[in-house]
Amino acid sequence: MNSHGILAYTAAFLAAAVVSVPFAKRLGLGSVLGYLIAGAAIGPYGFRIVTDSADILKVSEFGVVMLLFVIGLELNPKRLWDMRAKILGLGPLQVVLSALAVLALLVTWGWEWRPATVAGVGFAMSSTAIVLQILAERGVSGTPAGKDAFSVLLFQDLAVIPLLALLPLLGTTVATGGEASGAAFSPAMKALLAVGVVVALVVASRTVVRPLFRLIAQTRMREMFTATSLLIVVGIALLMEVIGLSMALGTFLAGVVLADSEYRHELESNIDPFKGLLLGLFFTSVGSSMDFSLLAQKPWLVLGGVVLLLVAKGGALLLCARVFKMKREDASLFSVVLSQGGEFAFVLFSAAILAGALTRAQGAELTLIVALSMTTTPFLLMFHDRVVCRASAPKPDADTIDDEHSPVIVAGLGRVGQIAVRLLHAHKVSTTVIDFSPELLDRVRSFGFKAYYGDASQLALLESAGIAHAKVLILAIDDRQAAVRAAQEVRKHYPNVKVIARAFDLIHVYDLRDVGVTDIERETFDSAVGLGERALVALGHHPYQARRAGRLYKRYDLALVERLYKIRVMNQEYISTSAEARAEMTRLFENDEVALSTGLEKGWDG
Amino acid sequence: MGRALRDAVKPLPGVTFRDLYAEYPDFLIDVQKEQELLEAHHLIIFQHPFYWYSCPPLLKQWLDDVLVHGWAYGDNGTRLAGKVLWSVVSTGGPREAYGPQGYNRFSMRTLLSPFDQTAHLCGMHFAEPLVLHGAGRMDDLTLAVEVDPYRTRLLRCLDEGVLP
Repeated sequence: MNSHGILAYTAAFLAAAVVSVPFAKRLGLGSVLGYLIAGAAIGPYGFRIVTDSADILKVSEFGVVMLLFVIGLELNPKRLWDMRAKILGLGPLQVVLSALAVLALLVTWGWEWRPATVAGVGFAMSSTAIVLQILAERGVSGTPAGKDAFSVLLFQDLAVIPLLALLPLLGTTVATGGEASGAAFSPAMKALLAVGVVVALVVASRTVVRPLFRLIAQTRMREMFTATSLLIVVGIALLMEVIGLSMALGTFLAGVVLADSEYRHELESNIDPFKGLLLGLFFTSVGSSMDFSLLAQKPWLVLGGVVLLLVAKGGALLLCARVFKMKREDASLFSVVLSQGGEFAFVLFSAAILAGALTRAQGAELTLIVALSMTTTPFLLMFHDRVVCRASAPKPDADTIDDEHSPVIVAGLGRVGQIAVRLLHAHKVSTTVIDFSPELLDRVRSFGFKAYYGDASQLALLESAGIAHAKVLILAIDDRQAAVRAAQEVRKHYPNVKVIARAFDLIHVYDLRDVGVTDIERETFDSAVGLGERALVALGHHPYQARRAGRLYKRYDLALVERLYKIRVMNQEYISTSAEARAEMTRLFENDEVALSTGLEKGWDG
Repeated sequence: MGRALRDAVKPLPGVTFRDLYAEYPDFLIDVQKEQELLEAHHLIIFQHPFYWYSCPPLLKQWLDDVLVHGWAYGDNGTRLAGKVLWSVVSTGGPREAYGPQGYNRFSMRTLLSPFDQTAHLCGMHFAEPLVLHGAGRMDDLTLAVEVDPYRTRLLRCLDEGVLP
């Protein structure tokens, strides 16, 4: 493929996606189906722009790899451990039940048991990419059904490794190499290698990755951070490829290991755009690789196969849900969402062909069946929404995801943010902290705070920090304009999040008011009033009377600021220069004399 | 009046004077410290103006926060038992206002019964209250005369270990 060809391909993929995805979303079909349709449109049976998508499929599989990395980032080892019962119970149950159901049906249909077993195992796998995309798009990742689905996917991803190793046992011919690079190692050796890699990842994340990120962070160059993030993912994937383990699994583990690091959110927001694009590319290539001529030749076989897959697997999933006592609506969502075949089936089938467990013709048929089954999920979901959800309660409330996301995000961990965080921490309010100084983060982390690295004025970072699930955002970043920008973005996109802002001075208060923030603390105000109170005490006033005078002054000043702000809005005047700020101060002083004396009224002991 | 009462007793040896409004202008009482002080003293004096037939709000807050169940009363709440509570209050109205014929209708002794009962519940003796009437209208000389019984009674109590 020359460079001209690559550009043309890229343009074709992007154009098809840009046209079809928004359209599919508007119709309520979800982005996955949009990409698949785009792929079919540019494929050999559409406009014939892409005739051989195998190369592109290979590249775009990297989207799945990145997806798993990002999922890993969301799961720290502790949460992974908490899910072990589901991963090791529900997961195997689903795979075994689904595979057996398919096997039984295919043998009844007249297949030999070897290819039927391969088909069964292949069909049992669901599409990690599709399912996670759908779960995220619907915002149900944190619900019981979402978590259960994720556990099953995770087990499937793990199961692929031994399954690939076992495939040659089903083969009728001697394996002719399999995955060329992986063939150098025996299965036992691979298992050993896998353990070694995990240990190496844990060690490397502490000794190499974090110091590296610190170093990069200190350069304060965003693109270097992005490059480093990509390098880590690509590097681990390459390592896995070389030793013949699953790339997706390797990056997933790397993600889990890095989930506890302060750079988690920054990593996530850097990888996210690449992940999204590559995933889109992946779905598109699946769409363009569908062999529609086969569908035309043997429509009943193929469509029958799709129905068989959905029925056998759906039934198995419902049974799993029953065994694990899921609620009715959870069970149905769980079963629908996981019902399709997945990308691992493609890998298994091509390996099976090489091992001689499948004929080429069988392989092509099965691959088409799986690809077509992927297109059914959005439709099945629409059906699920219409029929099942109508009967059951509305969406679960936000409380169900509270254990995953902090209710408070504190942006800026300087002298102001620190105090707010400590107060919240003292009252066991979990907070996510974002700051731009690695030195500061190190220091507060040593005190056990949750602290993450990043530019808090970027909406993307706030999003990966969980702003969508937060109740409160405390804005205490040192850059006044960045604070106003962040407030504006959050007010616009997440109007339900309460924004509490630190203001530097009156002008800053007005700027924040302009973008709709009402909860504002002027950073110097309370301490300045405190100075005045102490002076009154030093002059012989009773401490209580001095405190009353201070508090009265505060009340009066806040009311005055409010009044002046309204005047400012009415006059449309924009106070920004220091000269105008001084004029403002004069106005304040002129108003003061009226109110001040009343604070020091004679008390009972006067 | 408050200041004159304070000046009369504050310098006396063995007396710890607590100006609650100066200690806690935010009304945020250090309960542990107050309880330690209570344990270290035998005679507790509530010296305050008789605002709206009761004590000023911070003293009420003090009662609510410091005299808690399990410490001052109730199960094992015996830390104040045997101590003496003495109310020394100043009123704006004249003596004759406090009685069946007066505009305040009740005697000071009756109006002070919440404090009496507070002491009782804590196992304390409630000493005969000292009431100084017409606080707002005194000249310095009258004030000194009025305040003198306070000092005298307190001194006698301190020297001889009797009830004030």
